[in-house]
Amino acid sequence: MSAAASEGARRELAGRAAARLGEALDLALGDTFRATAKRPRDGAGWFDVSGHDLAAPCPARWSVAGDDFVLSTRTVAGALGRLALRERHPDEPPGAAVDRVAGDLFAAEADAFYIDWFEGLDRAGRAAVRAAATTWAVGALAAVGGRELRWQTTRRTCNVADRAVRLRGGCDALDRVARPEVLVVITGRALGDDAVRVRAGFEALVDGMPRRQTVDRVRMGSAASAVTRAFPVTEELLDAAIGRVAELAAYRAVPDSAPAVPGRWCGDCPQLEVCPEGSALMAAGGA
Amino acid sequence: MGTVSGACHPAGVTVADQIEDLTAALPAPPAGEDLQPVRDRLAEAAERAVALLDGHSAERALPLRLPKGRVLDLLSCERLAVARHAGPADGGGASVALLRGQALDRFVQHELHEGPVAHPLEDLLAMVHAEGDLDLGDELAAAGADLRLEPLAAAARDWAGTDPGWWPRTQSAVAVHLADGLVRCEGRIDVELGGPLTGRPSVVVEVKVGRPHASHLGEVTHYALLVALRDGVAPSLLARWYPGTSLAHQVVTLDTLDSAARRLADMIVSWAQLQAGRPATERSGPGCAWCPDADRCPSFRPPPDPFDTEPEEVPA
Repeated sequence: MSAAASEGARRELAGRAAARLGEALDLALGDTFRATAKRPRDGAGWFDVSGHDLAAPCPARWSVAGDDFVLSTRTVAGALGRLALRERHPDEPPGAAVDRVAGDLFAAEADAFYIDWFEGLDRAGRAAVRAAATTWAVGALAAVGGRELRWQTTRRTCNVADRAVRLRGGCDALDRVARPEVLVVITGRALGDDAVRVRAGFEALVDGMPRRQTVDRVRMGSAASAVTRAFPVTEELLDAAIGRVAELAAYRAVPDSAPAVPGRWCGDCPQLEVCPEGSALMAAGGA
Repeated sequence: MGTVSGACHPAGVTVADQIEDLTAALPAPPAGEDLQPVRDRLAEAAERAVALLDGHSAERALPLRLPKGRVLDLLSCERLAVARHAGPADGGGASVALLRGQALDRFVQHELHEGPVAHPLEDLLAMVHAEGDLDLGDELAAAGADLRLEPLAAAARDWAGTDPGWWPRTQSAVAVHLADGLVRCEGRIDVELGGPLTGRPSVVVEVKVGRPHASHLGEVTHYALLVALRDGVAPSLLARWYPGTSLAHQVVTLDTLDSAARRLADMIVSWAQLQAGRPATERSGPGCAWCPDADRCPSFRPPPDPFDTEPEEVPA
């Protein structure tokens, strides 16, 4: 399929991807994780798959439900940076925009997930967050060559039909064109990595299934190398993501099937005490 | 807990003043096609490195990673680089000097984004906890008064008044990926100012505790190379900031970049050879102080204090 496929072709692509995801999850989950009611507010009985989860290095850790998300400069910098870029005035330095929105977060984004945490920090803690957000924002702008984009501050989600499974996207910005391409700004991962391709397919999936139409391209960006790489949305790209989602789902359905892959991530793993491989690694001095 | 008074640079000249002055009339930095020979040299080294590893048991070493610290270790002593890659030295925690360096980075960050540090240890811990680095927080708290933070916090006041129009950012990532991403050279710059999107010259500043050392020069020229390849234009100015002193600075020329590229190309190939099983050479030096193999390396020598040595006599 060409990068500039017709609307009809992109609708068909989204429809086929949704069907293939359903089939893949049927195989992976069997009769587990059937959606029998509306998703509860706390997500009990469901599991989520985020773009971050796709690169989960240890299946055993992923297989056990648990929320190990921690608020920190690392996890908040992107969110505050995107907010600043969304609200930035023409020619305003990104750091000044960060300071401005952080100075009155309630006015800028009252339902930001980090607002209570941020407001609870003292002056120095907030300085650390603003510094990280500024670095993120400048890096993101450099990656896209300063192009004007619609920076996204809310994350897209997509519940999989008939399954107690939610996909959580991480699209950072949309292009300002009639048929937007999804743009994801990432840091720290080389754009040649296969994981980046899978992530691109995943973002296309999460964006395309609810709209019943895929975007033309997903553009992945690296702040560290100030480049982007465009991935035309094709069956193959979507299948790479569907395959990974199904693989993760199978681990969650049958945790005993999930192998342990010890590594530097063992240090903060909630399963460490019951994981022989991780314990052995840590006893040997870590990764 | 100490409070910092309004200490300032002895000469009353801020870092911002110095940068404004130094960048007022700089020659255009190397850019675009100027950089092609440098790119070619690194690309060739990366291809050689991958060829050494590809298809053998050493393939697990791919992608070959050369963060700045590894490049500097390799320059110092190959055995040090291999040992540090394998794991940290026994007995673990960071030295007081290293912790002071971490503190100074954050005080500069605080000055740039919030203004003066009021309570050095308290503010430092608040920043580290916001970063979620509880282990570092524990080490800093345990070191306590040994860190002598007040002078560092006072020195960071030199960064007051930096114009936001410079787009100052701290700990910014820079990476150059070669051989289709199979060789990765990466670093994190203490302070970056200006650059292609800002309409101002690009300035790279390394923040350093203590006195100048030859290895610091290697660090900043390495960063100049990475920034040049990232941005397609070299930084106009490279600087090192030591508390209480004027900026140590240099203009970036093609020779600067070429020299850094030759060095990095050698390190890429050396690291690949080491991963493929070549025995590491040993060279005693300052790195012995933090080498994990110090207790079993036949070349170990008690590290000399680089600041105590008399200047070498220059032959007539």
